Amino acid sequence: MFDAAPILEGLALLADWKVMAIILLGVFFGIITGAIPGFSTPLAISIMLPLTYPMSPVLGIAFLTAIYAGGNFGSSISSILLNIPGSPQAIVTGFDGNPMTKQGRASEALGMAVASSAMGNLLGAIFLILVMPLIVTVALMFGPPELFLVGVLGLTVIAALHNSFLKAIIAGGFGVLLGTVGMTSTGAIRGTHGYFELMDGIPVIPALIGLIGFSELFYMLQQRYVAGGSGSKGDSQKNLHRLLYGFGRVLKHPVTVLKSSTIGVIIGALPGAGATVASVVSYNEAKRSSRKPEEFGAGAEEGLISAESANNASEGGALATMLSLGIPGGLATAVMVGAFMLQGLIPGPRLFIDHQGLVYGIMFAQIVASFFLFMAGLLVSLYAAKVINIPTIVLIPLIAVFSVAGTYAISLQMFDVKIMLFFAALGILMRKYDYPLIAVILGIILGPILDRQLMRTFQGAGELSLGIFLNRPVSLILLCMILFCLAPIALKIYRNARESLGYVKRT
Amino acid sequence: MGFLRELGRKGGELIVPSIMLAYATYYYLEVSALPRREVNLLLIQPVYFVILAAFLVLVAAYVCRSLAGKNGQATNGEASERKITNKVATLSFAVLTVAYVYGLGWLGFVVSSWLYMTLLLMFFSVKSWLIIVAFPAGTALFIYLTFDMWLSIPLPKGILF
Repeated sequence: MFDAAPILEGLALLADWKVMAIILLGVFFGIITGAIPGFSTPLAISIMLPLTYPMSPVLGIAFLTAIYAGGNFGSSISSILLNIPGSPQAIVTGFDGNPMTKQGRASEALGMAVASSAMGNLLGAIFLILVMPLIVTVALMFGPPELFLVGVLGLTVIAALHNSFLKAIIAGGFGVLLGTVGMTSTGAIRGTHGYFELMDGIPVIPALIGLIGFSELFYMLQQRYVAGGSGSKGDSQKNLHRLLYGFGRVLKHPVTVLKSSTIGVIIGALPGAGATVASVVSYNEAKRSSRKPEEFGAGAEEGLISAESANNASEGGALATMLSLGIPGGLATAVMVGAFMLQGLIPGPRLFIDHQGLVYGIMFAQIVASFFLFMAGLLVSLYAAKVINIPTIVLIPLIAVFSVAGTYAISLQMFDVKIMLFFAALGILMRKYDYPLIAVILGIILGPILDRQLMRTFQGAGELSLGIFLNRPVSLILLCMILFCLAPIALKIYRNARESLGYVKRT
Repeated sequence: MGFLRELGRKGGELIVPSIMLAYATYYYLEVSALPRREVNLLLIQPVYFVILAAFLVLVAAYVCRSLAGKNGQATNGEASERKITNKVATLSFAVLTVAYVYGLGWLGFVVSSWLYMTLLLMFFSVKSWLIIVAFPAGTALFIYLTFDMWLSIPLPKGILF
């Protein structure tokens, strides 16, 4: 099955201290920039892209993939400690990570996140090496109808996770509509209100920072410390012990790690779906199969582990699609395609034939990055955990200025910062009345994908009917999964409606 | 009358879905007026009707609960636990943030960030003058040096710096 020569060639490429040093540097850079709200992984990779030009191909690509791995974990640090995710894929991590911080278990949560990220990344890399042809075959079975249904599944899962399905549906639908703003493939301009900046759609990261991050600051202001029990110096002395304890807790959930990483790899391999949908679907599956589903959202270990390992493992899937088909699954892999081109290489089937050793070298670099991610993650977390000991009145101005700088840095325009403010106002209202913020963000991310894939389905079939989805095996499976998610909710709505109507009739 | 009073008092629950539905309706009508309506509305039309249906069911459920004299829908705890109590600090934070964002282009990143952080710390009643003076200046300079000098991401420059 495997030809040993290119594998050995790939290993030989890594036997160089410069490769090891650059991977470590990339992981550190990724973690630190990822922790800054607004400083997304694609941005961090694109900033470092020109630096890879004079490097050898393995050095340059390993550096960028290491930033990718580090960034995926880094964005979870702010999500866990401050409930401000650095990028969309870390939102779900905060569902249970932030409640753990509030319970005084910040270091433990960070330790679990480091371990889950490193393991997710490692499993993603192993999947990448072992079953890449299979992943690619599965990914190729996903045509426009299937990719459309993956988006619908992501939104359905989010709606099912919230305690009010109706609120989640309205928020998700609103997000999808916002996601379709801009110029369409047919040349029509929708909902830009004359702002040329909106031609490419609503910018996701400013919306994320405003809706989830900045709105959180207004609520954070009402308390003295981020976590109720913080402020004592004694807590910080036990940080390392708690980080390692958190690591140990992850080892108690091997099935969750394995299952979530598998979900992460598969969803990561689908173009456009990405780490956010992977973490949402994996979190839902962990909740469904848990013995204590009621603990999810209140500091459940399995919740944090499932989200974190899935979003890191998705990198392996995304790299599989990018390396083998030349299709970037998201922004980060799109920048990496640019890095390959800078080196005179074109990702795709020919890359495997012409540069097999290099491809294996990149895959093994992922494994090395996983180990460095664990060490660097522990080191950064050791100091990052101290953030919760800073009073909020000092922390808030600092986060606000970093958020503004990070948001501005995305496309160097003040319009993005104003968008962030608009979403912050919406976020405050949504938090007050308990509307799921992630539904809006996921809607904005999935809106363009749903629109594009539905359009392709329509163009391919010449019409839109349920038959298109029912006649394809993969889409039929996805439809069943959506119905499976919807069934308990429909039952709950029916029972509630019957109870309310009965009560009204009686009174 | 009691029911209507109750509905009005707790009607805040419907602010968010009303805003979302209003936007969705406006957007739907705007896209409907575009050429090739059937293509442009392919996704927007079903999504709009889903929002509309969910809104109507939500209002109906809300009215039923109000008639039955029950409180608003049970939340997952977060919204009911977290309320804005420190109104002065919250308002100053909101006003200063808007002023900061709109002043960035005019004063530049370093000066406006320094001013913004200093004023915020003063409004938040930070006692230490060292923190009020040194912390904002240090932070603004650190961000400027990191973004502008090291990462080559130019931050807004105004009339001063």
